[in-house]
Amino acid sequence: MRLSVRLHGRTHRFASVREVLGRANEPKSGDRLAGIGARSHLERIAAKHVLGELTLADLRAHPVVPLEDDEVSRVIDAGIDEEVYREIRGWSVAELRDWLLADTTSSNAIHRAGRALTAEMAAAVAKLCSNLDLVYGARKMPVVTRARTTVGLPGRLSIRLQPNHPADDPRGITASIYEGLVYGAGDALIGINPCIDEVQNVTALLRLTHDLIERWRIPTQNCVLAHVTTQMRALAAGAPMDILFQSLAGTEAANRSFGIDVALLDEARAMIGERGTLRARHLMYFETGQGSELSAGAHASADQMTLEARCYGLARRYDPFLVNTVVGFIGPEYLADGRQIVRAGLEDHFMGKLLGVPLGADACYTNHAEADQNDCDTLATMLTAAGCNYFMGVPAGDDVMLSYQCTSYHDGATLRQLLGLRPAPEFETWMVGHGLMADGRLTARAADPGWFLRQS
Amino acid sequence: MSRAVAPPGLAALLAATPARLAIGRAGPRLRARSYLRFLADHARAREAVMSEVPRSFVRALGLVEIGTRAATRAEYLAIPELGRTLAPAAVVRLQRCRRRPDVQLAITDGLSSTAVLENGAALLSGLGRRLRARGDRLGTLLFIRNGRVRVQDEIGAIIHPEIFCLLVGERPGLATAESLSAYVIFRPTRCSAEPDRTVISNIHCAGLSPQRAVRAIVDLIAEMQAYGASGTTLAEARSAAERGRPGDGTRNRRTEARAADHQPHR
Repeated sequence: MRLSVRLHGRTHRFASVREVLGRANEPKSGDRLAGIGARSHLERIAAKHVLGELTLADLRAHPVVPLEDDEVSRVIDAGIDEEVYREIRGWSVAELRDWLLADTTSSNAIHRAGRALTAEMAAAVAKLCSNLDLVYGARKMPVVTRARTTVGLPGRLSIRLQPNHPADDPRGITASIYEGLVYGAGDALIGINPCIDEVQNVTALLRLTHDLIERWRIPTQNCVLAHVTTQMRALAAGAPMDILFQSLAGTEAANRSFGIDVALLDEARAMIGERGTLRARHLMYFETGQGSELSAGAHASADQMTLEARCYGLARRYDPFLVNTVVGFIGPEYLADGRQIVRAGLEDHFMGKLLGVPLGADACYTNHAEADQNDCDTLATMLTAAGCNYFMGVPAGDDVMLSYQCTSYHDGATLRQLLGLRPAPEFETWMVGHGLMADGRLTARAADPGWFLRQS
Repeated sequence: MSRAVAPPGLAALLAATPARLAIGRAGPRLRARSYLRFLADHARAREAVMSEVPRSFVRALGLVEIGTRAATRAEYLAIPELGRTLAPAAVVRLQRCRRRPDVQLAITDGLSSTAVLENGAALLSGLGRRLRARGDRLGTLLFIRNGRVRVQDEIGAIIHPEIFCLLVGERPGLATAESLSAYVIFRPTRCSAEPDRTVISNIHCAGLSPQRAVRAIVDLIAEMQAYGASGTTLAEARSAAERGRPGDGTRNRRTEARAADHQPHR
């Protein structure tokens, strides 16, 4: 294993695989804050050269957090398909990259290879990709999941309806759901971020969405994004829950700061299977985001992009229905501006898909980042071209509970019509049946929330 | 684009949320008016984050200004640790401030100068009046420029207050840029952690009004004095007293997600 390279007459040496991974990252404020990003542009490129020559076996032997110290490392390593791994362990990262992009490499072949990859390998190959490489490569990696709707099919784009309210008011939430549905949002999920993380409130919101879905026979699923332990208590008390949510981080220590570990997630997965409303294989929903480990002081001197890939490696254990990065939400100390947010969003989607996880994205930004809605538009358009499974849908892109901006109901409809994509097939049938959509486009009757009240 | 007459009942639903609903469309896009409204609200939020609280405002309220190691807003945003640590001159200035008060009050810009300008005066004067009326001895009123929540601990280690209430400008949303949070802690030290604080958030005219917030904060301070605790310890003591048995470690709500120093979990 060689950790140095001579470039333009200068030798660059690195102390470890972890250091190479950190220095090879595109510029991110979080890596700079942690003191592990490249100190010069040339050093960054030198690290990419070194990384390109490492083999997959080198990366497996050097996870950014040692197996003995971290259960996330152990979960990912234990999940490797050893038979496939033996076929590709000698490949260099550069060879893997070119193989992924080659015309002769099929989606099925990538899907099979992905089962032998650790998070560090997925992160490494993405560090050798330009933005367009990440878009083109990810497009070859569809990951399809199924609950009441089928999400991630080629030619389809889904939307998680996010009808948040600053006080969890049921009428206000209902109004946002009505508006979202008549724009064609909600085929991935109707998922509420609760303001009040308490069993009684979570149960009430689950009942509200469950009853609405039943009454209008909408092919979709409900979820209230409280802490997993609150949702488990609600489930135990009989709340009607389709999908179970939790935020993930890429190290055991950071997950502990979230109040979770693998044992708890295992228990949660078993519980939603037994007590949830759906009898399906895909029942979990995870959110992630570059920088959460550093913000918890638990980044183990690893770069935020590799740690993000480890979240997907952990998610893989649970065969989730939905996984998305909340890419611009963690804050400008981790992703400073629109350029960094766009880059990270493309990386996250690519890495997740390569690891076989059904990636969607919350293309978003907070008001203390150097970013605006134009950056959100750019990222969402590129990710749609990349085959992203779903985006968020929020009224006019303004989340009045979480106080940040992301993609709107309008954006979901626009992205579909722009690139000729349809909603999930079951949901499209529902829209067409009610005259809200025809030939993949909103009808004149669509986009009016009063439609629901006129039907009753 | 013409639309059918709104059915009865819709107005009541729409009135129950500040979300931007029933705004129509231009093709699949926002109409010009909605788009321009959105841009105006974003510009206001950016202004709240990036602008400075004028020194004249600090003087007019009779506050003593101290600074953190973050010299500019840009530094403050890029390197959170700087906003949690006092500048050397601030440490010197604090030596001359009143020690061991019953209650130390302070305000910091955090992520919104606008919040301080809009609601700071009403909160500080209301709190001062009510606390003095209860017989509490107050510390020197402080304004901390470019501060984050944890700067409370370093100040606490110098001043040694019984209770420390720090008002912090919250990360602005499009709906309001005027929201503050109160972080209240019993006997802060350099070793204090997030669960040691009790937070009252969403303080602004359209949320928890400054008048109601003053009452809530004073009640909270009285409770902390009675129990000799804050944060999760206070919550446990409170529920133990209510149920007559040991506490069950009540979880904090996540309403602090917008506050300046809180990790926004989703």
